[in-house]
Amino acid sequence: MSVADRREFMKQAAAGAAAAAAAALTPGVAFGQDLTRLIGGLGLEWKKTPCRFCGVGCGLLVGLEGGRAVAVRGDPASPVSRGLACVKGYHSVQALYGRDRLTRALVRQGDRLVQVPMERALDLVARTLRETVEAHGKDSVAMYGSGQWTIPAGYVATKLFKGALGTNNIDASARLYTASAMTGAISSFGLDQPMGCYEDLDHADVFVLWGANMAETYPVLFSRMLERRQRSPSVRIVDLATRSTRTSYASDRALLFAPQSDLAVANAICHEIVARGRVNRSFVDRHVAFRRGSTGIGYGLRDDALVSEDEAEASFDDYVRFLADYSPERVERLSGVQAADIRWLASLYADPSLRVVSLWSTGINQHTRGSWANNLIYNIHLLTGKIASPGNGPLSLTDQPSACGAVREVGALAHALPRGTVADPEDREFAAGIWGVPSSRIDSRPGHHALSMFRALERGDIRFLWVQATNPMVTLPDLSRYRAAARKEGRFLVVSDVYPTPTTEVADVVLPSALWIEEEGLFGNGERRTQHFQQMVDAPGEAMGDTWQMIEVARRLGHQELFPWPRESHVADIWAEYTRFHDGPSHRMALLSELESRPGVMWPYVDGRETRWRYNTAHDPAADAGRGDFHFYGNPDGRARIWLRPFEPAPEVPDTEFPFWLETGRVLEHWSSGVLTRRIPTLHRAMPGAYVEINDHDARELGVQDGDRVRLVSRRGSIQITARLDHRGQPPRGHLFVPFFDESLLINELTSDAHCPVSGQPDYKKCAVRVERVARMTGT
Amino acid sequence: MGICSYLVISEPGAKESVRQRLAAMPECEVVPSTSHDLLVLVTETGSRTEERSLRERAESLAGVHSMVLTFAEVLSQ
Repeated sequence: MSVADRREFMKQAAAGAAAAAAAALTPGVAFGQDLTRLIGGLGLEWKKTPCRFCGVGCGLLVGLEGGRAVAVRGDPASPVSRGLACVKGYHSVQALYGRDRLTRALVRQGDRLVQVPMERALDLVARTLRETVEAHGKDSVAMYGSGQWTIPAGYVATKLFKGALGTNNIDASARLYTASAMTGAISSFGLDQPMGCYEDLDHADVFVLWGANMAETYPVLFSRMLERRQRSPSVRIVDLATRSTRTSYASDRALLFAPQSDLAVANAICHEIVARGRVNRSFVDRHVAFRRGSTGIGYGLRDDALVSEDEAEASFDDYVRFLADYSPERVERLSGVQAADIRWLASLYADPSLRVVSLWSTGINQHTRGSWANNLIYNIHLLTGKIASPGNGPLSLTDQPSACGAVREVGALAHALPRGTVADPEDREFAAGIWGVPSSRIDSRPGHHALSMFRALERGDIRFLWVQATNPMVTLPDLSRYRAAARKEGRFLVVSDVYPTPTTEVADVVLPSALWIEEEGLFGNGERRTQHFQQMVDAPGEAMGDTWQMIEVARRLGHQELFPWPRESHVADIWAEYTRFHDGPSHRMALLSELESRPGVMWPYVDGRETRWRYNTAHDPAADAGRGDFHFYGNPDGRARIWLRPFEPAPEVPDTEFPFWLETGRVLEHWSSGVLTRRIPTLHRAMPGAYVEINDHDARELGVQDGDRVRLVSRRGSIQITARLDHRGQPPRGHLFVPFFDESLLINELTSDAHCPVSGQPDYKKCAVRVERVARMTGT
Repeated sequence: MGICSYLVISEPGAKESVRQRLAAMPECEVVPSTSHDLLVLVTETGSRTEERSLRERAESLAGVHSMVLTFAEVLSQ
């Protein structure tokens, strides 16, 4: 680098440092294009992309030089993040260049994985898939994908398995993170996906966070909330949680509730709204129908099939009688939340002068009654009519960059199609028409959802499993059980990934994948925004995009006619085919040419207009204005549902042998199972390993000090781990927290595979464990 | 030769006048925030003494509430 170049480079670094300091000092600060010009330069080419990590979908600009991604900055044009990024986003391109990147295909020979040419590995995958189907039937093969897929990858996987192979055995790790949000939205509104958008954060007067540690897990959106409060000091943030976190400390009120009692708290809020006569009767009369469902539906521990929703009509009076069990005093005894605080929360929701947004993520969704918990939050907004309008509404947050786009929208789930469900003959006919296959090829029976899929692998009902873009040997609950299943004789496991992981360790074939901007793609974020990114750099060695890997295998199986697209244009061709599924006012998507030039577009996108608030007749082109201000068209009667959902206890609660609740989750520096963020030196140094947070009083009783090694033991397994007191989070007495990003400390050896029997989403937030002291940090 | 950057916090309503005064100094490049009373200031000076002098002049400008050093690098010629 010449002196002149170095001088320019240092000036850019200097400007960037000042801008970063400004962002830290004042979240949401903006500098406009002048700063972009000052920071930009030095011959770097900047291209836009959504971030590769969580489901918020922050807009990034990646700086390219000499065929490498060398810099990142927030995209000021992004409506999501407005020039900001979190610490993971700023360091994201380093994930491309870890030293142990997979660049060659690997095939198992005995105990070892040996390198083979990619073409030979793809031949082996196709041959084994064909032979497995011939020997054991079409339902003996399965695909386990991910919300880390691009939309084209999710679509091709769905078409390959459902349209070409004729099995519905395709599911995704999004099941582990967001399935309850999907089933909750469908049961309340008849359609998946949120009705509001992040712009709600700019309008709300009150934010109620239901078990979401947004300061660590959604920092950019949390900054946006803090900015809103800074501009309007009367804005309040209420943190409802099972432990105190950085989010609690930044909130105006933090209320702790006992695990599982969120169901009762939500009903108690509604009890209070009704008892005080603060129901928005005009809204309820015009837009709501009451429903009662099955109860005592179990925890999925023995049954693989998901429970389908029974729907019995109920009346407002039935609802009032149902709520009688949830007086604030009674719920205080169950939840630990004081009755006065429940009444205060109800008063915020009910006050017509306040706009209220409820936000939640895995705290609500990873729950043995996750689908119900979603319904119950919707109930509050429906009862008060605070929904689907600026600053008023429920907003479910998503953990994976394209859980919505590549899984929920394209139907890469056991029961779904890109439009509708496999059980519906019209939906099968429609899909078959677009795919050019006989409709009889699409099976009407749902396939195995995620946990059911690994149980089928254990039994031998599934013999061939292809895992793409996810790391189940870290993220599945009751992990030792499912690791043993994957290692059983006669099972064939294909894993497509970018780095060695505990999942590639048990694979028979490892296919090296392209990562993020090494291929062209599209992500769909948590506010129905589709974002396009170009291929910016070459994938290393023989690494190949997941989409193209599947196309190669499909062609080897003789399905060339279903996957005819040239490699150079396949993303555009797939987008053109896929969007035919959604070509109507309720889900129309933007043309690729628009997505290429804009920082994302929200669907429904009709006549050049994005839809920010679905079901609101002033905003949503699919809503019938003749129905008044709202039209919940997902349900045949045009009404949303208020469900009578009771509190039911967790399947496993602390007892004398296992006296602690264990909750798992994420930390700021790492994303998901840590495969990418642990390869980023800055993030790894900042948070090198997992730990267990213990309450001070509990630690004293156990004789445990900060930094001691302890053993955590559940009915399913044990690990040794470092204890942290007064760390980032403060669990209440009897409660532990362990982050799950660390593959050397597999906390999921301990967790239970109990799950919501409606959504299939496991509960990672509640199981019973005990703590045993192992050694003092100083060696005592 | 040295390059530094500062976060300059201006008095309410004084951001534009501060920007103009800083921009008039040949050693300075300045970018005002579009949303807050903040400015990014990047300076290029020949020596540490020059830098200190520049900083003192900038801090004494009317409308400047405070300045925070965020980056400093000495470049060999």
